[in-house]
Amino acid sequence: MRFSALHKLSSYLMVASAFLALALSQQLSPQILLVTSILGALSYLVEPATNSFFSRGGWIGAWNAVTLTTFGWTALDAIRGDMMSAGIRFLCVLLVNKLWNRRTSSDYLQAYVISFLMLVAGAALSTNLIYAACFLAYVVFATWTLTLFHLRREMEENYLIRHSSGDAQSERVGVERVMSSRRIIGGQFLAGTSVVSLGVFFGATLTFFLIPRFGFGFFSQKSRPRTGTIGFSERVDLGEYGLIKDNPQVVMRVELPAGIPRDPLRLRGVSFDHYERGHWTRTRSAPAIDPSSRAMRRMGNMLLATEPPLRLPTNAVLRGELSRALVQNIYLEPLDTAVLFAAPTPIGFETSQNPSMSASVIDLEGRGAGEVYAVEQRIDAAGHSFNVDRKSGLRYTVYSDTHPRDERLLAQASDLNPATMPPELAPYLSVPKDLAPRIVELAQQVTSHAHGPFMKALALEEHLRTSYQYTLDLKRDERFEPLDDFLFVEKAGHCEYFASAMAIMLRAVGVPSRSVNGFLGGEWNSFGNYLAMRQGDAHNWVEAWIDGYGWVTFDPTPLGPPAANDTGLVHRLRQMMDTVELSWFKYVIEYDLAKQVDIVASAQRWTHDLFDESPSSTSRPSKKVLISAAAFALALLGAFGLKRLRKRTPRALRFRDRVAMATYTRALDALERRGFVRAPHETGRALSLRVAEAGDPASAAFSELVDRYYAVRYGEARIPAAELARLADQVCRPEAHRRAA
Amino acid sequence: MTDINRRPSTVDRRPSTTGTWSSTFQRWIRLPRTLQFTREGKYFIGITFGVGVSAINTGNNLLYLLLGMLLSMIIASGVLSEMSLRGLQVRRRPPARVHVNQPFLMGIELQNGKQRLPSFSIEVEDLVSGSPIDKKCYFLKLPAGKMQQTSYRHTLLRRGLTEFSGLRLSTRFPFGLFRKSRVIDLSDEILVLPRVVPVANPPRPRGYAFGDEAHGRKGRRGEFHGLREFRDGDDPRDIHWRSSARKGRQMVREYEDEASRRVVLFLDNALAGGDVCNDEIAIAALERAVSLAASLSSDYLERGFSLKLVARGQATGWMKGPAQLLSVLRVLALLPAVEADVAYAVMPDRLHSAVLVTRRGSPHERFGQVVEV
Repeated sequence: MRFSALHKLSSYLMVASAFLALALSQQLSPQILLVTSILGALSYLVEPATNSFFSRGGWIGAWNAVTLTTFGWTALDAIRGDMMSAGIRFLCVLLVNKLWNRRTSSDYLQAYVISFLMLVAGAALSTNLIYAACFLAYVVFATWTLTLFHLRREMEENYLIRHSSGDAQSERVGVERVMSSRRIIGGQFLAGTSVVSLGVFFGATLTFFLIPRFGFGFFSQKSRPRTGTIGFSERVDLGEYGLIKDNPQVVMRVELPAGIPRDPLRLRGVSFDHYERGHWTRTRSAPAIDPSSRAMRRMGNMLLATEPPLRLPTNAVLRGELSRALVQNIYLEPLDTAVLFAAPTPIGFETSQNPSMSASVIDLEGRGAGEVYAVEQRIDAAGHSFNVDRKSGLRYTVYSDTHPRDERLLAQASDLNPATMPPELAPYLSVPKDLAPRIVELAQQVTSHAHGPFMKALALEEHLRTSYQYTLDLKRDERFEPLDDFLFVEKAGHCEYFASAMAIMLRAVGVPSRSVNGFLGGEWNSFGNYLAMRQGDAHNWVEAWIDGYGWVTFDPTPLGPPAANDTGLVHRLRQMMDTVELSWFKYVIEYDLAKQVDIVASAQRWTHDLFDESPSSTSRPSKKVLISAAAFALALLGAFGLKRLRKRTPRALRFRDRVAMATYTRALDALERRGFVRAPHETGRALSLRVAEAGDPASAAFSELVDRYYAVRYGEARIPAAELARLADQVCRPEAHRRAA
Repeated sequence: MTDINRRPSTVDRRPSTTGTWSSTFQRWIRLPRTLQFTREGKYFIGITFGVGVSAINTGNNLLYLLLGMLLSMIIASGVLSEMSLRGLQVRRRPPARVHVNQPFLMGIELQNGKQRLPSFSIEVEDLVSGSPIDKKCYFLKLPAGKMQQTSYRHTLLRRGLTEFSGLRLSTRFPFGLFRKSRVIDLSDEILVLPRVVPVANPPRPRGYAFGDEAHGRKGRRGEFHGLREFRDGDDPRDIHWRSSARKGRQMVREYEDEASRRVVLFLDNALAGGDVCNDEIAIAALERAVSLAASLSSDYLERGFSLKLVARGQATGWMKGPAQLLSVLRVLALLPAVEADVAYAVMPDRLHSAVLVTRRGSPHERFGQVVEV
């Protein structure tokens, strides 16, 4: 490939990868995205450097006008506050300008700077995994491009003059001819620079992990785009869940150190206490738990919380419960809710973030209705700190008591006395004023043979599961209130209808109850060993208050048709990609000082284990293999270094070298006395030629001596010292030797 | 008397280990590589710094990734430039003669001693007294194990010895961010000869003729005068082999030429203050006189004259034939300025024609033909 063509191609690939990284941020309007892409691609087909049309004043003036106008527009938008969008739009215009006006190497350089700014903007705005691919592509293409650009400029600067001998003037050489050469750059060069770019990529990765993360937080931390969810706001409308049931978007990933759960995992989110004509709302928006209520306590980084009127047991009891609890490490995607999901019944919540080491301080806050929220501490202009809900994604750990409920004990629970019941439960007994009487009658009829709240709840749960059908194809008759319609007209619905019906019917028979939204099931990812919860796994169930026991979970929704067990290649690839995406968020996007400390601690533990001599130390053979491998590698390295050292160190003179040198020097002295002084630059052979040309009678002997001397010194030859001495004597006394001959 | 026949070439190559104490000390304290930021490199460092500050301020990990990329590119740049500079051997190929104020081509030969890796984008600069001259040679690509040659055009402005102390190899490969240099000690002394120009109306000593007549005299033999040691330019047919064998060095016959074909060229090399004279006009005049003496010598030798060059404190032997011009030029190249009280090494006599080249206004009572510059 011609040098100039390759340079242009690599430049465009570099710019395209940066533009794609920016486009992924979804901050570019579709119009700008389309226009920039088309104009940028079209500019590849023209050569402004050789086409005079692109050097005309009108063309350049038009582009300057466009750029200035865009700049003014950008400035106005920036004043209005939309600085980032205006900035990246201006970058797009500048890029197109440069691509259509790339006449000199400076234009190329400016295009590279713009592409880098795009990459930076993409980093500030995007967290997508594809950014990593764009970044890798950018590193490879940037290495090629910058190398080729450097060579191009060096050629332009240095290949201008061809010298001629004598006084004749030097002539200029056309750079174009050199640029068109196919011999400068070949496949070997590209392969070499690709290896270099991979080295740059790995270097960047290593540097990324090693640079200490000390965030000062002068600017707010960027937030990842949130995933819109249904069911976790202050108001929920019946029927919404049906809309997201097929949505495969992952909302959280749950690592379970205990392994794959036997039963589908239920992750509780928010609960609702007030129902009215198909809408669930909260009478008050989850107030913070009063610390004096003894329902909340902190133990180190962990927040222990329960729901009033329940109280936390002692720390000793809690420690016992924690040791038996189901541990869930949850990687929560940015959602439009700050609630922390947890398997019922949660005992403690913990974030891995060390507040003193991060740019933004994240805290946990227990609120009513058994919910714990993530909050971020901020400081206002007056210097007062305040909390805002943290909705930018989070990693946290939950400890839940998931032991099977003791149904015998629950069955003994008595009905609640409204006169003595705790005031916190009052909202959970309210029924809508316009509730159809036949719903109350049905509730009473179903629970007529049941004694106590638990048995009544079981009876209603069983009735709903067996008498109604699960469907996502809802047919509503607007003449009836939604629950009335579900229970007596359609007799089919999805989880929201089942849960709402049960909650209201429980209240109708005097059992405090609430509708709970969360997730159920999920998909086990065998590549990453975690449970992926998707939007479609959203679920709605019921919690009923059993006096003396607390809130108990009931799920009246009948099981839907079993999901097809997808094991196809596409499914596996999707799982693999999801694992990569989790790793990307876990180790790149959310990488922080706490993780660095964890890595150092792990390394220390590993080193400690490696040299641990105790019998309990596991995997000893593999460690021995590792140590042996390290020792072998060190030995190899040492041998290589020694070889290099020996190669560099001049060999010590041996005895035969010294003898040869002395003899040779004697001959040189003799020649010098006869006028043949060896110049510093002159080799022995050159001197012997000079002696021969001068007709010296000892020339033949000296030539032979030089050959022998070289053979001894540099050819490892073993020539008797007597033979060398004989030749030296011939050189010193040629007449005597001739007479003797 | 200066031994003018000792060095046949105008270039003297010295091994790099020689030198004064100060140069040895400089070599010891000198870093093996020097690094200099280019303009782009300064911007690159600035951008790296900016990205680093942004990453720390925002805690944005992708900015840390970009920072890592920029830092890695700097490291890669250092490694690749080192690989490019390593294993290179460079030699200077000076021309046979270098004259004052006459451009010459200095050949530069670069060899890549590496077995597998090519070297890219190498600049070679010659160092005069440790400082680079304004010309450089550029090698775009030097394949592994290959050698390439190029040259640069240069003009030296002073006669005498000019020392080329070394060669500086430098590269901005691969990204043009830094210029990494390595100095190779390769000392060459170049004798800058005075400029020889055609003389319009040269002084005519006895026997001076014009045109082809002069060439006709070449090869004429007079009476046998004696033997002397062989010098470059002598006719090998004049070697007296018996004497050469007896003495152990080559001897040639010398013939008594006609007195009319001998000329003694006097050059007044007096300057007030000698070598430390500060009078630029006087120095320039002396340099013109030296150049004129060189030109006259060339003319006389071309015309078959035997020539003896005499200056204050110096004199050559008799020289004959155009091949001896180099010896004359070497003497003139190294001729120092002396005080006016230094006498000429030989005074003019009546046997030989004497021509004096002197600065205007200098005393010249005892000379027949005088050329003032």
